[in-house]
Amino acid sequence: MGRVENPLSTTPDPPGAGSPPRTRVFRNAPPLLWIAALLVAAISLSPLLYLIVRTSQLGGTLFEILSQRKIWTVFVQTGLLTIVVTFTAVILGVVLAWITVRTDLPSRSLITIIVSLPLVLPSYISAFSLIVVLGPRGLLQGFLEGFGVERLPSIYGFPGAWLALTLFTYPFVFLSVRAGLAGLDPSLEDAARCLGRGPWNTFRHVILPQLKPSIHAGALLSALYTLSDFGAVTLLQFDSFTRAIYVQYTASLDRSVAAVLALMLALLTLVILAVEFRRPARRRYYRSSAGTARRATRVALGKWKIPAVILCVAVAVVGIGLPVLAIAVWLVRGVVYGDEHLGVHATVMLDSIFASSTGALLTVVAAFPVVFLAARYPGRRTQGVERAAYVGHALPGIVVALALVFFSARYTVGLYQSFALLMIAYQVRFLPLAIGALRSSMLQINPRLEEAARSLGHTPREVFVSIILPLARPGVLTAVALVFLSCMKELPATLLLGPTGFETLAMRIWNATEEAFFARAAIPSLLLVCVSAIGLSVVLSNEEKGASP
Amino acid sequence: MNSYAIQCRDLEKEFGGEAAVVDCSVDIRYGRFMALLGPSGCGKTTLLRLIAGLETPDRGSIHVGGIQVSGGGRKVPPEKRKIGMVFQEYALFPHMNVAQNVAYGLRGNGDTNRKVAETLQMVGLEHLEARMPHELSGGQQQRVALARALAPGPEVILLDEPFSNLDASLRQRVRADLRSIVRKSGITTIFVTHDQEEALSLADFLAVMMEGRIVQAGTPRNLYLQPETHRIATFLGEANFLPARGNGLYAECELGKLQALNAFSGEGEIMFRPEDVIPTPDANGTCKIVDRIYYGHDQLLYLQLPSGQIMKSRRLGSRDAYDIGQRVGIRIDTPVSVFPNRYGCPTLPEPGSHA
Repeated sequence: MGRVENPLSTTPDPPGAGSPPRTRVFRNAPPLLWIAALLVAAISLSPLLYLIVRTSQLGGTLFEILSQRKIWTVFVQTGLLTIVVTFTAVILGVVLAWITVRTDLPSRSLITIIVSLPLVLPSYISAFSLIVVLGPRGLLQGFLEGFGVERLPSIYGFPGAWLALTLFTYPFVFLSVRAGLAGLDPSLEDAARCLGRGPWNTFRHVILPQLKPSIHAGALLSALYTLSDFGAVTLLQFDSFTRAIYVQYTASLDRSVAAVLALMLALLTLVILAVEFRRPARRRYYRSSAGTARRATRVALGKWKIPAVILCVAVAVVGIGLPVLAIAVWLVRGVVYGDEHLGVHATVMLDSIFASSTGALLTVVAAFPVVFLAARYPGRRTQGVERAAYVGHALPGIVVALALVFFSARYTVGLYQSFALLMIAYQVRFLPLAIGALRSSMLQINPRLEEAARSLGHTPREVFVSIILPLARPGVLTAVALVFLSCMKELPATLLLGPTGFETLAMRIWNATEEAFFARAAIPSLLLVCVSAIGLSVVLSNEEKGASP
Repeated sequence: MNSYAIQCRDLEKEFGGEAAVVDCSVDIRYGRFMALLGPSGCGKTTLLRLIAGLETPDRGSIHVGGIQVSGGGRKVPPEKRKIGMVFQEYALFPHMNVAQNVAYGLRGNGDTNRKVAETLQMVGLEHLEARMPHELSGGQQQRVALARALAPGPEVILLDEPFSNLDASLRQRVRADLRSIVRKSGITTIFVTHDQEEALSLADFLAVMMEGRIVQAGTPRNLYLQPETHRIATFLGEANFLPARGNGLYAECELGKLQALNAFSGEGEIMFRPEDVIPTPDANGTCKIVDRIYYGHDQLLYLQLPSGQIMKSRRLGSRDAYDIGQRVGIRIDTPVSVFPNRYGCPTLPEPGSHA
């Protein structure tokens, strides 16, 4: 996230050297590379295209479906949830980022880690913990019963979804704004202060405008995750698009409504992305002067120190404390009550790991031709291929899954509910993660290295094995780890596409929570959190290594 | 046997409609140490990359050692050309140590270890074979890159701006080292540079490239003293120009009747180098010293002629005293270059001003 892409050259050309061929290596990409990349892009585009085809075949029925009031209710509710969640996430993220980067808050680095942690938790575990702790007959109410409180406001519906998704998405804003704050030129603030502006005024008029790009990036991610989230809204029973699609899909024989809803959701996501990309070109927000950047002075919080600490602790308690508490309590209860389904069969763990590792390898292999094409033969056409590969990530998991279900049921024999279809879904969904990780590694490899290797008598294939792969290794590892983690946590596509008898940790948590067998969700949650933490530390340590060549 | 290591015929290469190399023909004899000199963006790097096979020419042909490698339906890939290349940024493989880098082109055939040791000894880096590239200084990195290119025993070796990444203090020494290493190996070498001093001092053969064309080729002495155009003259060093009228082997100009290198007649332009301009102390002289730059080992004087034109005069040594405002005469003892108007084009912009 937010990794700086290092452009190819290690040293600048002599002044005025603008010779065009420098950036262009063998200008025409080999046809085999094109074919591979186009195939991958076609697979990524296929769910969206198929949904469009399928919906357009509805003819008059389409208008009947669109005239149903309930569809527009879902639309409005989803929009409202997205706006409110994004807004809260931005406020929370910006405030936390500022106090952890720019103030004298005690133990800043520890707090930074703790408030980033909710990123590791899948939304359905957050939802599970909210239900268990704040829900009816939950832990909090049980505790308050002693004080005569009989009912708590319901956690189901909007409040729960809002809370769970805010906790799930504010780390995106937090991390992105932190990076933005770290890149600000402190001399601008000093200038504002010397011109007679107070700290608040400086923040409002100097810092905040410069942070706009990072806030935008974080907010975009929050909005997209809210739109595509399946776990939290289904468990907390809030009728947003994803839940409505799932309910329509499982409950009714006619799946046209589900298809229309899925297309609407897909278009909504794409419209948001398109608006974001069409915003005018970013202005220059970096240090404008030569000379060494001075470290920014930290603002003394003074009497605000205690409220700031309280805020951080509160976020940490709700974001990380509640899930840990929920898992622990129900684990103990499960053991005490002697629930025989408490443990997790080895098959569940194996299914999870097998599906995720296969998905990760396939996705990374598929990412290679796209990345290679875009990094080495930059141009409009190759950029188009790369963008097409990104479409899958913009589509919510349930939309991809549904499109693949329709497609395989109608046009293929034996692909429906097969393991292969699930792998395709993973590839479509997570290809951009792999592309992103590989891309930065690829761009750091100077094309001159490949040319040197060629002129030393090695064929392109040998150069790939002996030069490119070893140098791109950090990127490959990061890509595999990221996609593996995402597959482990993936819920909607796994739920819809998993073959009969196939069950992953995510499915088990979701099923157990939905049926209120909370104890049975405890161990899978714990396992998933552990796997995620390990995977994330692999990614982070890898990025550190990659950062210092 | 064919006596040319490289023969380029009518090469053309465009990038997105912009011509990088135009109608380029050049023959390079075995054993030459040739400089390809030109301003930035003139296409010299592209020409080098065409020879190496890293780019495909749109038209024209290239022969290496008498064998056609480009053109006429032939497209020999870079790995089959037996051409070694040293890149501007050296392009050492960062995941391999010095010895592995040098061994990479040997493909494990024969006695790799011995060959690596020999080559490293030749560049004087035998003690650094276990170092990683990032542990080397710029000059050492360059020598590793050179050793790597030399190890497989190529027909020709190409160097792209070999000294541009070195700081000035190192450059002098590295130039001398490189020249002696390459001389010892006796291999045909082409290096690209935009620095005329580098080209004149290192090469035994020089080709000047401008706007994608090779405009003049010859020995450094030949090019410096007899440039074919105004632009080549200024590009190769400081030059004085005066309008003149040809009269056989003499040119008549503001400074009187000067001996010309070539016979010409009619209107034209003459060129002479600052070191050929000798100011003579003369209180009634027609010229005036308007500025003086003192370098120590020499000094540069700016002399104003009666017409207002400024001539540069370079005087070796530090002892002669000149004063600004002093009146002097001008003497030119050597023959001057002439550009009759049909060749020379005094209105052409100075190189660089168009880029």
